[in-house]
Amino acid sequence: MNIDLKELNKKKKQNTKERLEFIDMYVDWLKKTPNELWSKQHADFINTGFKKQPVKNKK
Amino acid sequence: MRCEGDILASFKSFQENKQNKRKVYQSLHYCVHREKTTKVFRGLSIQLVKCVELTVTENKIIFNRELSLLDHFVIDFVKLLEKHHVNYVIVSGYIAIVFGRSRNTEDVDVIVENPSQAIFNILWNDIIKRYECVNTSDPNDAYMDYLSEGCGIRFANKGTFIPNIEFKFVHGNDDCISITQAKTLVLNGNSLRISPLELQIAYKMYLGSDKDFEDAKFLFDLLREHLDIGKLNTFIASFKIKKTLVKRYLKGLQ
Repeated sequence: MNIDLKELNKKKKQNTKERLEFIDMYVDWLKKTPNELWSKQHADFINTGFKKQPVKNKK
Repeated sequence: MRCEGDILASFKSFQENKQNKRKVYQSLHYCVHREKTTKVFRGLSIQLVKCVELTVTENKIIFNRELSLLDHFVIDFVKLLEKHHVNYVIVSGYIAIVFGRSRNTEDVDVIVENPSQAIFNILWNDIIKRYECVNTSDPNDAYMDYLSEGCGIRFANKGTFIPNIEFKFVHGNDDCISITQAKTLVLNGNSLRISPLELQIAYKMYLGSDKDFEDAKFLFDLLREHLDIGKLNTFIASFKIKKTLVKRYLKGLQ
């Protein structure tokens, strides 16, 4: 498979830039949105990570 | 008699009206309470600053919002530490998440002021009534082979693996500063001891993964009005963070 690493690096930089821009927008939204509104979305998002997993072998 | 189309149109209009009202409310809220503007009221100049809804005093941050299951998990665990008068501080990723960062985590880092083995054993016996240590089931191993060696142990709800509390003893200067200068975050009436935000931002910059830089940027951007900038600069210098990184992620820091 021929991968253009130069192009990939460009994409990586663009992705980093966009992620930082997203944080700017997100922080701005948090600041202008009442806690009860943004934290509902936040809690829903965080709660999706609470799925039961089996405990692995212990020492 | 209304036909189906009329009802649909009416419903759409109702929905649009509701959305518009919400938009108007949000924009009013934004303008009146949050946008950085100067208003003159009875001869007094009042500056209204755009910031998230929280109250900050010298040692306390009071914050009310909807709690997630992760918040409940942390609150319940630290109640056990408080019950046994064990001094602790929460550090790292959860600090960003608790203030609204839109990411999840598999662990919450808790640093505990090194208790004697006797006190640790009492605490352990209480913890394992509800949680499970995923590293070992022997408290002596936990104390001697892990915690005393500077390694962490992880406690998860019984029958689960994630999320877990990464439980460590104080190890190194940064942990000492975190625990001695900890602030109390009052989250919906529940007290949590958290590391100073200035230290967390600098530490995240030091760790240096994309996730850490983003956590640092998030905390700095969201809470800059409440930060001690002198203290933040001191920590940044102590961790020897490159100026180029500070410029990129902590925009506006002098």
